[in-house]
Amino acid sequence: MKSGRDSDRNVAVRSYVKMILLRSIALFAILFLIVGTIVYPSFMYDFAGIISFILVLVFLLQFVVLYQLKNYSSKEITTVAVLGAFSAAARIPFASIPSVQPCTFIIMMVGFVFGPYAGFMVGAETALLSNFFLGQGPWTPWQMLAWGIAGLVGYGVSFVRNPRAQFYVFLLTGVVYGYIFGIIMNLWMWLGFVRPLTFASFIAVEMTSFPFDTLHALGNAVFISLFAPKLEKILKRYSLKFGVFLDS
Amino acid sequence: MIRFSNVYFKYSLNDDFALRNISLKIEQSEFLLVVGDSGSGKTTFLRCINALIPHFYHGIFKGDVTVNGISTRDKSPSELASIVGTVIQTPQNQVLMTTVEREIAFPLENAGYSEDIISVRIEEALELCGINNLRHRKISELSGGEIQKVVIAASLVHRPKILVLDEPISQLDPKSAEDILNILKHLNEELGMTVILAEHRLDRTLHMVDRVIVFDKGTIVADGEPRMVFSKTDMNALGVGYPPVMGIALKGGIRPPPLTVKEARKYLKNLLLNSKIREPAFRTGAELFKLQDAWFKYTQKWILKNVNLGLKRGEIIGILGHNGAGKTTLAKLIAGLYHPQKGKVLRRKDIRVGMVFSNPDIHFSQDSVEDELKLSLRLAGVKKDHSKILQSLNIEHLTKRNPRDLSGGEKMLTAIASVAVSEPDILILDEPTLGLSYKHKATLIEFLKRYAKNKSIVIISHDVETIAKIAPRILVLSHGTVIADSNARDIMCGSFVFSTQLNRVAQSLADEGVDSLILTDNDIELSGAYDKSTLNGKERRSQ
Amino acid sequence: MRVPNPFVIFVWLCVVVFLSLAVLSLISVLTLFAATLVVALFVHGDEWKIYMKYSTITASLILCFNLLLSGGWGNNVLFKYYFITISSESLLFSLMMVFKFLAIVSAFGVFSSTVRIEDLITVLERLRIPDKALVTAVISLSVFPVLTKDAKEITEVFYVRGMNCEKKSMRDRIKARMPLLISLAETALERGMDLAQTLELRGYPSRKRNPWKKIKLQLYEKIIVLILVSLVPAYFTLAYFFRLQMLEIFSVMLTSIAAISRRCVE
Repeated sequence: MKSGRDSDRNVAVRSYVKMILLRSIALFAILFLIVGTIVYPSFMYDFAGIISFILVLVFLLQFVVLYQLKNYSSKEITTVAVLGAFSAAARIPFASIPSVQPCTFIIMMVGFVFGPYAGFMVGAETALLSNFFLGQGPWTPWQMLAWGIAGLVGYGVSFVRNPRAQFYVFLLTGVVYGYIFGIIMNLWMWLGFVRPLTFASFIAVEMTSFPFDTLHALGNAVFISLFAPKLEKILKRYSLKFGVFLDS
Repeated sequence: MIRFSNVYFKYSLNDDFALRNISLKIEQSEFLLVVGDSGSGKTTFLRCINALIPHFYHGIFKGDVTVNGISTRDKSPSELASIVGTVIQTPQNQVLMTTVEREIAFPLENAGYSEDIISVRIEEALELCGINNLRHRKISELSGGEIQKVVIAASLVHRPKILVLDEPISQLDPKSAEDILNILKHLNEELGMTVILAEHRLDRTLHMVDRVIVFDKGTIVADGEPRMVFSKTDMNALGVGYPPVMGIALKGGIRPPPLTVKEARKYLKNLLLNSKIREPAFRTGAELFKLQDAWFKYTQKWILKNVNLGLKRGEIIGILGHNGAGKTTLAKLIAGLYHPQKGKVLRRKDIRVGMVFSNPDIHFSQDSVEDELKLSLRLAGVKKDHSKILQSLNIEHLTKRNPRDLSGGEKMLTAIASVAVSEPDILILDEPTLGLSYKHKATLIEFLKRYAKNKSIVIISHDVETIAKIAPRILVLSHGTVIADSNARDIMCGSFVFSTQLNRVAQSLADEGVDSLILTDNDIELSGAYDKSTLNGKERRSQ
Repeated sequence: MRVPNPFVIFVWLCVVVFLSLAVLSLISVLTLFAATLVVALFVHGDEWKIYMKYSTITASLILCFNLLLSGGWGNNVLFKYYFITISSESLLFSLMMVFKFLAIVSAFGVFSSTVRIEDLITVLERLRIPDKALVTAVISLSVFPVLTKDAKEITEVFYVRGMNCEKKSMRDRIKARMPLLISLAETALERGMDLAQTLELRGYPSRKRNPWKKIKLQLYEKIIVLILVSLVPAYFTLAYFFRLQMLEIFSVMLTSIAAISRRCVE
């Protein structure tokens, strides 16, 4: 028994060391950027693609470690897994309507009901899963980030207490996030493969995806207005029935 | 080995106790069958053994359960996994990894075993379940029966002394079910493992077990040797039913009743010789639907080849065939979901078709059974009272319940209600009897017989007993081709595989004058003049 | 069948992506692209072809952006039409950006056609990625096919029940599919509970977890990994201190190394 407790403590210590390590990696990255810019003036500009790519990976890893450190039960782990798969599979009935997918909305709702970690993980998982069938590529981390943040944004809405205001804030956030999603996905192309990095060039990139983003935003609005109360009810009922994410 | 002392349990969200005052002892190496109507507490009982209660399912837990001398209160289910292995109903819901090998390694990885031990244990588990050939396969490519074997293998890796199985074969076809039961028998007889099995299919399991426990409303109402328990207790009233040969023997007053075809041959001979055969009465109307030389494929391979099928009003067709024979595809063709690439479909314009899929869960989208039926009526554009169908399926007490909270059998009946409420002219049912208890099955059979009065029904099932009871016409598919399409009696009486237990008895006694046309107990009339004294002395002694 | 060690291919992918994003000369980028091409030829990847097919749209977009936005810097103006100026310098630069992208996509194509998902998980386990996120991902990977089947069947159920999905406006079309989504959500969560029970019985989450599948690297594979990893700092040092574009040599090395690693692995 004693050794068990010891190993428990060891594990706890180890996980905190991991956490500190991760923080220091992030710190080091920032330091590297500053030093790099001093030694080599156009460092940020020339290596914008690689730097942004690494920052995204570090950000994702940060969440993976935080998720590891959370004391989740088996029920909560499978809930996250199943919701990720559900969100990816929910695209299928809508495949016949171009540029409309319920993923963003589902992820936001998961973040809203089950908290930031579940939201982020479900978002990241959705991107990972759908890309296993559509093709993984350098865009995968960015997509994981974009959908992960959707989960965080959904969690943010839960701070609005007034239920009526909540719905409208959620609706508005959904519409705005349709465009933010587009911006994040454009960022990787812009930073990596488009020069010069000026405001004008960013707008040019943005213009090409604008019609799709608008459809995305509209789709979100329709999903939220039709389905948000229903899905919220389903998730809350489930949370009560099986006792998952009750504290969030 | 396992001891229950005054155990009570109530799920936190329910009002009633699921288990009441359960006290019992199970010895090492027993093969135990747990039976009872759905909702009688079987599953709850099993969850107490593997410590899911009280650690995973929360509620009020009184009394004490000890397994191998360890109280389940002190150990978590995963710690107990080295003593108790667990298998549940739906195969797909019990696999976590993507390949067979990883799935079986997963529990060992979590226990922190070293590489060498894990490799040995995997090999052992694969060998015990006879699935070494599946080792490197992806789980998503396996059939339900194969997945269930993988699940059993994964629960054997800790070398448990007890195996707990909650309706492991209810979702499987007869062949896979037989395989699984053989594995269990092997584990029990050769390795001395205690096997605790909850199951509705009595004709396949009853003769294998040492002991039967009968549950009713959370209490144990009978416990003992199978033959004794089944002849003393009225199983029909408890919603459990009897295996076909046993049912007829008890009706005819033969005690102790036979369990297998082999025994029934001896015991039932006189009874069958002295009973009258009822002529089935059925009539048919105008033709509703016709397939002419239909060929169908999804991608490359033809799934259906040259299928001809006509369907008349008032007809019930049973479709039999092996796994992957194209039964479900044919049903979807009738339902109008697919169109044959070659051949013709003739369907009258004014008819509606309804189809019930084998997984009832996918039928529900509303919060209550009532709303579900209303949605169906609205989608079909029919104005009708929805409560009548619930009455005829005996589920009117569920009207306000959420369909997700129901038991498996209740879900199936609700799904059937949600399709049949709008009274489609052709009702298609894909494996409607999977996991249904005797009581629900009886209700369903009654309902379908009534429904077919002026509509027609297509029923796909591996459950030959049910098909024999309701379908006067049978169609046998093999690899996409119709190999037989005729009167049920003609097909079943000349077959071993597609025939009922009672018919197999009759067939083997055909030389001795028994009419081999007997399919089920519905077909024979035990003559009132039948006297137990007609049993001759020799047979008496053999009892 | 001969397959390259997934760990080596993973490291190779990371290095190629890193270098492609970092290098700044057309020749280096082309060499890198050629390196991935050679490897792609060696592994006969069907998926690689699909990757290249679908990346052409993005590649042409990148070409347009760079050509139109650069404003035609440099002396050799090739083409001038109102505000569009294309010089040989800007054309070369744009081509470099395009091949940067193509090299990365091609590397991913090679990766997807050689490394199975299971091996990728093993690689990530080996890299000490926290196991909770990995197990979560694997579980969703294993339920995903089940849920897609559910999704298809649910669509069929509602079609048979008389649902008409083909309406005019987008709102109506989405609205008609709402019951499908509800049904799928509930079915998924329902399956989730059984899975949770299984996960509990299999002893997860566990602090003692010790992954069974270990990737064993032979000596020459270790050397390959070492060389590949050292290419990254080497590039930065050389490019910064000596202003040398030594990458061509490295890239050739990369190609041969990857090819060798295929030859020798069981």
